[in-house]
Amino acid sequence: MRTTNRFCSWRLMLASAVMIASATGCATIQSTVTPAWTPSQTAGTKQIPRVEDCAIVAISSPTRYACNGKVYTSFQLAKLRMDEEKKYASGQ
Amino acid sequence: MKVGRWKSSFAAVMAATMLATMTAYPLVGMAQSAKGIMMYEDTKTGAFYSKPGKNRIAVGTLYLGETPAPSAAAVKEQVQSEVKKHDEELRAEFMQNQTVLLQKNAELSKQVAEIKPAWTDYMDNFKNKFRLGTLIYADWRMYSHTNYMPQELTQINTPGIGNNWYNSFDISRAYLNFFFFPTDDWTARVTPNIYRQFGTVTSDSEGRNGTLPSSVDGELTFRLKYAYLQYSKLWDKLGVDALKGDTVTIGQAPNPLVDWEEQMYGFRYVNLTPWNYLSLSSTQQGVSVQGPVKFNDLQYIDYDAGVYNNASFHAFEQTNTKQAMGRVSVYPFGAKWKFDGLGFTGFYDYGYGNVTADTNAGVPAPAPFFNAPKAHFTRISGLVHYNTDWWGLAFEYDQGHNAFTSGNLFSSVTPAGAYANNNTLASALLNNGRAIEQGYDVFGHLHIPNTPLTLFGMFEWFQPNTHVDVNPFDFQRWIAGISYQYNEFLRFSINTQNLSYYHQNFAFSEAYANTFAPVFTNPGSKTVPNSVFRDDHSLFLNMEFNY
Repeated sequence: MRTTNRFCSWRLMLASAVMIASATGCATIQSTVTPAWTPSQTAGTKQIPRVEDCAIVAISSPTRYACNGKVYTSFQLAKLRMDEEKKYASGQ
Repeated sequence: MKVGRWKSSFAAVMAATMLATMTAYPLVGMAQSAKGIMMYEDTKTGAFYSKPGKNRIAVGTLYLGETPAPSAAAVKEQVQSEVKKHDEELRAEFMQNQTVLLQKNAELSKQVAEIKPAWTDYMDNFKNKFRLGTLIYADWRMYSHTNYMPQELTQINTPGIGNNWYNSFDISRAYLNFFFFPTDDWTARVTPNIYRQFGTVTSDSEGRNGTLPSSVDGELTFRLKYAYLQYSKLWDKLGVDALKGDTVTIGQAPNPLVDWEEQMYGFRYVNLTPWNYLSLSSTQQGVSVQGPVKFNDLQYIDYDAGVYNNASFHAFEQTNTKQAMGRVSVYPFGAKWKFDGLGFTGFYDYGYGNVTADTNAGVPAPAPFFNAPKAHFTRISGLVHYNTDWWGLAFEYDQGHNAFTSGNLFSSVTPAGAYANNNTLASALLNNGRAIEQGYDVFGHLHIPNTPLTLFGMFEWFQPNTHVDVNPFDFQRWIAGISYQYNEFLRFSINTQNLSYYHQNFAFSEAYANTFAPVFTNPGSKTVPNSVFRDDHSLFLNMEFNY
């Protein structure tokens, strides 16, 4: 049976808009945990594989990702990113 | 006494004395004979001569030029010197021994200082053979319209019709992953996971006039999700290079299709993959083989096949038969990683209902389902998929036989009360032992370049029994959302999940339902009104933490 106002419900749309706005706003919050993606990191880490650019190979402990035909663990990607961030921060 | 005789006697005595002296020092005499002069005595005159002659007899050897006997002072001095020398030698030896001892003590002290506590040594070895991880799925969900339907995620449930705007915070997965690598060819894994515990319980009595409140119903508790041993050197030892590293798994392990498809889809933390959503468990108890077939470092085939219990991993096995299933994925152009490029996948599962062999044996099988609980079931899937680093797309066709029961359809919440007849109708159409299921699915994802965002979605069209003219339980399910990759271990998603029983509402004839299984008594012209449920719509915020 079809509902008359199923996904067009204004309440659902409002809730969705609030959620999207909240999620967008969260991106500007400073955190002690470094996110994988920041504008500066994007500029400074074009040469290293980034988790968001990779495909999931296995969701496990640790998760494995494929980047440019090569498979990395989440820990390897995190180390590559943090090393690159240090280099970028030190101006090298 | 005559003089001649006296002399003779004296000479004899002297000779005897000399001989006695020589006898007393035979070694000296012999040693120095080369230097001495042999003396002779004239037996008549008693004179001594150095040469033999008439009336002369040898009486001994005379040594000339010998060092005179040292004086007592000299002897004393020599003795003292010798004693002093000996003392010095002893002292030198002692000092040498002392030096060696000190050196050894120093080495021992160094070794003692370097000795690690036993627990440190144990942990150093342990950390190389042990890995601990966790996987947590959490969500907040809100329904604009609630409905009777399958669970969107395991361990979450919703109220039925009439509970719009229901919302809940949930934990739908909390793995504790223990991996142990005792040797380089064996791996052991143990993974407990949460599950929601439901069921009617009776409170325990506490004294004559009290009861203890039950803490069982609805509680999240832990159960065993995975526990298996995996051997990885079988093909290496057989010398089959293309299968090197492929594994043999024994125990409670991932399902050959579900686990593989979840990895390819990549958004299991948001929703279930098609057969897993319908009925196929993600975990099997049995023995299996799996792995890639590679040539020149490119994967051309990936397979996983095994023999398992007919029961699900959280049920007791009752059959004397077993279930077999297998998946083969072919990558005609070779894959650099597991899902890379174009692939074709086939999956087949054949098993039996989980009842004992003597069920209905020797007696007429009771109505309304007769021998349906013993009936075999099949699940078949064919997939075409293409994946790159930043996007993926898959089409899937499913067909089943007795693979989707009313229990599966209403795993989230079962119709009751005013809707009890809908549940009875579902049991007639789906649990009769002759149901044929059919489904079509498409799912994929697209990463937005230079952002941490990925769009994803899934559409599933499923017909629970194609033998029914118009089956009110035919449905379409669709999920669409966006995922935010915070870092390598954390993801978030906002998405909408919907299920639509897409036929127009109608009253279902009880008599027609009884042609599948006689669940209604005296059906006559009676019907099940409103046999088609309303749609279900929800908004989900999901989180995945994996470490």
